Amino acid sequence: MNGRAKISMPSRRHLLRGAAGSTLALPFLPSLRPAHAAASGPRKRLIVFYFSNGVTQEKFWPTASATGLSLSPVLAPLQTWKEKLTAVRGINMETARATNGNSHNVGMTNVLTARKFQDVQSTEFGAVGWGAGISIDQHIGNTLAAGTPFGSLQLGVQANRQYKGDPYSYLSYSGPRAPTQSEDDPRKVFAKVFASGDSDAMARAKLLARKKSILDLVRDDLARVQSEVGREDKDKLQTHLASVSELEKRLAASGGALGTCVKPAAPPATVQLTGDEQHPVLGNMMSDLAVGALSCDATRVVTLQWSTAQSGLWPKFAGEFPSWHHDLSHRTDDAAVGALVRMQTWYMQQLANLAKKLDAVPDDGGTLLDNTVILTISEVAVGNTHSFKDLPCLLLGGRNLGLKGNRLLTFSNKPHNDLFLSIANAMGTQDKTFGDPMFNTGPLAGLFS
Amino acid sequence: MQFNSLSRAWLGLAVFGLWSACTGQVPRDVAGGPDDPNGLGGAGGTGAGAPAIGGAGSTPNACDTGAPPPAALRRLTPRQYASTVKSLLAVDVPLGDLLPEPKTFGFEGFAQNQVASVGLAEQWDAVAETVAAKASQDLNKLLGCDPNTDANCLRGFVQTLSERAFRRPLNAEQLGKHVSFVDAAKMTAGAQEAVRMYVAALLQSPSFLYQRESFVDDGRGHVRPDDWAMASRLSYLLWGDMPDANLFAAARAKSLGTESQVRAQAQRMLNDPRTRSQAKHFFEQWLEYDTLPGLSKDTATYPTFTPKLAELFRQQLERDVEFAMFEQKNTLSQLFLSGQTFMNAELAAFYGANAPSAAGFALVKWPAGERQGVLTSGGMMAAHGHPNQSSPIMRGKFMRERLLCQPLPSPPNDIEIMPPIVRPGATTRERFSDHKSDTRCASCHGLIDPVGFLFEHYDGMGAHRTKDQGLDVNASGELTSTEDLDGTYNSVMPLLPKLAASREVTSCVATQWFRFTFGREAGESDACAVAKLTQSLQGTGGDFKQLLVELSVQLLATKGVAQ
Repeated sequence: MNGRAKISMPSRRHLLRGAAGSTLALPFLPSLRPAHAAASGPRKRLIVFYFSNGVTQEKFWPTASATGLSLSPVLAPLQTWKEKLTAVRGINMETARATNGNSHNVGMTNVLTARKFQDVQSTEFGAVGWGAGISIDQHIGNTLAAGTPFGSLQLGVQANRQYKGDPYSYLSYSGPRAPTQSEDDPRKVFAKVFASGDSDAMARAKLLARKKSILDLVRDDLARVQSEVGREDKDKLQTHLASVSELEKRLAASGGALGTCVKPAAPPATVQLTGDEQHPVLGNMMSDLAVGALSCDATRVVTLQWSTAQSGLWPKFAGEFPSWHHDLSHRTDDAAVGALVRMQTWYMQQLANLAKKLDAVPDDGGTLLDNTVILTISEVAVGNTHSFKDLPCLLLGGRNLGLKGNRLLTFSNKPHNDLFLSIANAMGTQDKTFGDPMFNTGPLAGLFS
Repeated sequence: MQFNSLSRAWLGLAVFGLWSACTGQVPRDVAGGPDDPNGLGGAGGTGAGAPAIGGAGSTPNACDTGAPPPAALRRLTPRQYASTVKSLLAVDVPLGDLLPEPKTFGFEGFAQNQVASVGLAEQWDAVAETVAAKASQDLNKLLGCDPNTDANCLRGFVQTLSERAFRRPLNAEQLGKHVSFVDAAKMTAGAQEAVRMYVAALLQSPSFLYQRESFVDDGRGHVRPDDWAMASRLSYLLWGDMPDANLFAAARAKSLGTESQVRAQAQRMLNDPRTRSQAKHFFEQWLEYDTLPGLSKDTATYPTFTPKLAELFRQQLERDVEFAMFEQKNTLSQLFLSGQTFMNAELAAFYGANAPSAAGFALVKWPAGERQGVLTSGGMMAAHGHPNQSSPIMRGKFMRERLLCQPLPSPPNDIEIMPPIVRPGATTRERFSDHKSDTRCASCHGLIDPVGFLFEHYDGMGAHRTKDQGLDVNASGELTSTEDLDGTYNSVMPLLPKLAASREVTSCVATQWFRFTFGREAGESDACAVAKLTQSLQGTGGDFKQLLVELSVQLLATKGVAQ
C-alpha cells in the first residue's frame, strides 16, 4: 500500500465523554462502542468480495487431502493464504433456482438478499426485477449496532460501468426495492470515511444539534404530506421516513474522531474512473479504503463490488483476451476458456492482495485478517449455463471468528441463506433465519468452530 | 460496453409477458383508438375496446372510458431536481451527483419506481447542504433585505422561498413553524447560518421533492387538480422545471382551472427555450438515443468509433428533432422523412456527405439513397447496435416497441441470449437463422428479425455498408401483425413514408407522450385521452407543439368523483 500514514487520535468515547461534560446537551448520543477487547473479544469484521459471471467450476475448486488443500489453477494466487482459506462447496442460490427470469438479474437481486426478486418486468433479455429485502451486508452491519460511523460500506470497482441505474448494477439493498449504489469514486469514499474525523467534541455536538433541527423540520413536512395522500403513497412516504431516520442514525455515528488506525493515502484528485485499464488501479485503491475503513473502525462490514452483473469488462490488463468477460463466459473454444480462467485467476489475485493488506494491520488478538471474514460470491455459479448450483463461496481469514482454514467443506445442496445465517451468527447476531424464511434450513454445521 | 440496450430492458410490460403472445395477435400497449376495427386494445387484458370519439361536430365529451386512476405521488426526477434547484436558488447541481432513476417504458418519472432508499436520503442531505452553503454565501442578494436591521426580513424570505420551493403557499401553522425554525437558528448561530440551515431543510422536504397536489371540486361532480397543482403540472410537462412567476400569479388568481386558461398558458410557455430542452429529453428517451453518451464499441471491429463521434451523433439528433418539432409544422413526417440533417465537417466526412460551408453544424443533404430522417442516422444505428456487429433484434424490437407500441414478451428462461459470433463468410442474416429453425424462438423473432433486417445497410457503429463480411447486404424484410404497415420492403427506406402516414404509429406516438407526461402506463380509463391525442396529431399533420397543448389540457383531467 502506498503512502500509508499511521495516525493516532483520541478515541471517540473519550471525546463524547468530553462533550457530555460541556454545557451543550447532545441531542442524540450514538450508541457507545462496547469495550470490545476486554469484554467481548476482538471486533469482528466482514468483507463481501463480489465478482461477476461465476466461475469455471472444474478449474476453480481445490481438492483436499489429509494434509489440507491442493489449490486449483484459478486459486493459485491464494497459495500464501491457504492456511486461512475455507472453500465451501454445495451451496446453491435456491431462491434464484426457484425464480424465472434473466439469470444475471435474478442472481444479482437474489445473491445478497437471499430472496426472490420483486417488481418484475418482462424484457427482451428475460424477466428482470429488483431486490426484495435487506442484503446480508447491511443486515449484519445494522444488527451489530457497533456504534461505528457506518453500519456498512458499499465500495465499487467500476460497479456502475455498464448499467447505471439498472438493477444489474446493484448488489446491496437497505430494504425491498431500495438498492444502495456501490460508490465507484475512491475520492468520495475517502472524503466520506476519513476526511471528516477531525472535529472536536464541542463542534461535533453542535453539528449534530444542527442536523437534528433540520431533519425535524423535514419530518414535520413528511408527516403533513403523509396525512394528505392515499394508502399506497402513505407507504411510500413511510419508507422515506425510515430512510431519513437511518440517515440521522448514520450522521449521529459519523464525523467523530477515528481511533488509532491505519488510514489510507488520499486518492489522487486526478484519478481516472472510466476505462477498463483502470480496473486494477481502482481495485487497488478501493481495497486500501476497505482495509482502512475496517482498521479505523469506521464500519465493521464492507462490500467490495468488482464490476457489475453480466460484466462486460474487457480485461486486457490480465493478458490475452479475445473478447469481453461476459461474452467469454458463454464460449467453449479453448482461447475463450483460457482467457476466462485468466480473468477468474486475476480476481483471486486481487483477493490475495486484499488478504495481504489486512494481514499487515495488527489488530486485537492478531491481525485484521484474523478478525475479518472475507466471503467471495458471484451472481451465478457458472457463467456459461447460468447455473446457481455450487456458488463460488470461499471464506478467507476470520481465524478469531472460528474459521479453521486449509479446509474444503462440502455440503449437499444447501441454500445460500444458510451460509449467510452462519456468517451472521458468527459475526454476533442472534438471527434464526436470513432472507426468505422458506429457503432456510438452518446454520451450516461445522463451518465456524 | 456490452448490451447497451440493457437500460432498455424496462420497456416490456409484464401483463403481456406470455410467450404465447407472439403466436397470436400482437397486443397493443393501450386500448385501441376510434378507428380500431378489431378492438385490439382488448387484447392482453387491458383494453376497454375501442373508445368512440365523435368525428367533426360531435362534442369532445362523447368519449368516455371512465375516470383516470388517482394521481400517484410523483417525485422530481434527477433532471427536474437539478432544474428546480437552479431556478429556485441559481445554484448548479451536476446531474452526475444525483443517483439515476430507473425507467419504465424507457421513461423516467414513473411514480412506481420512486422508492426513497437510504442512499437517496443521504444524497438529498448531502446535495442540500452543498447547495445551501452556496446559496447563502451572498445573503443580501438572496434575501434582498438586511436581517439584522429589518425585523420582517427573514419572515418575508421564509414566506417567499417556501412558497416557491413547495410550489404552493404554506398555511399559517406551517409558516409559523418555519419562521420559528429560522428565528431559533438565528439566535444560536446568526442570520447567515439560519438561512443556510433553512435552505438545507427545504431542499430535502417531501413538499419540495414530491409533486404534492391538492384537488378541488370542478363543479361537475368531479375533482380536478387545484390551481397550484396545475401550475406545477404545466411547468414540469412543458419545461421540466418549476413554475415561473407568471404561473404562480395565475395559480394565486385561480386562473388555471379551465381549458381555455390552460391553453393560453401552454401557448405562452411553448415559446420559452425550456420547452425545447424538455422536448429533446422526450425524444432521447422515446427514441432511445440517451445511451449515446459513454457508448463504446469494440475497437478492433470499429477502430474509428470514438466518444467524440458518439457525442456528434447525439448533437446531430438533438438538432434534427428540435428542427422537426419547432421549425417545421409536420413533426412526424419531418422526423421520418427529412432529406436534410444537421452536420458539421467531421460528421459530413463520416457520412460521405457534402460538408457545410460554415464552421460548426449546418443543415445539409443526407447522402441520397442511403439515409433519410432520424431513424437511419448514425446515432440511432449505433445506439441500436452491438459493440462488434449490427443488431437486427435491437432494431426490430425498437420498431415494435417504440414506434408501434407493441410490447414483446421475454424470451424463454432457458435460452442464453447472446448475439451469434461474427464469423467470416456469413452475413448477419445468416447468423441469425437459428431463430427461424428453433421453434421456441420462431414465433416472436418472426415479428422482430424481419423488421430489424431492414436496417442491415447500417453496421454496429452506424456506418452505411453494402457488404457484410464480404458478401452483399440483403436489407429486405417484412412487417406483419400491424394495422396499416404489413408488407415486404427492400430496405427501411421505402417503409419510412408509410411510417409517417401510419395511424398505428401516430397512436403509439400519442401513447409515448402520455407515458412521458403522466409517469404511468396508459390504462383502460386513459383510452379516450390517448385517442384524443392521436386525433390531434392526425388533425395537425403530426404537429408535436400542438400535441403539447392538448397534453396540457389533459393535465386538468378529473380525478375520481367529488366527495
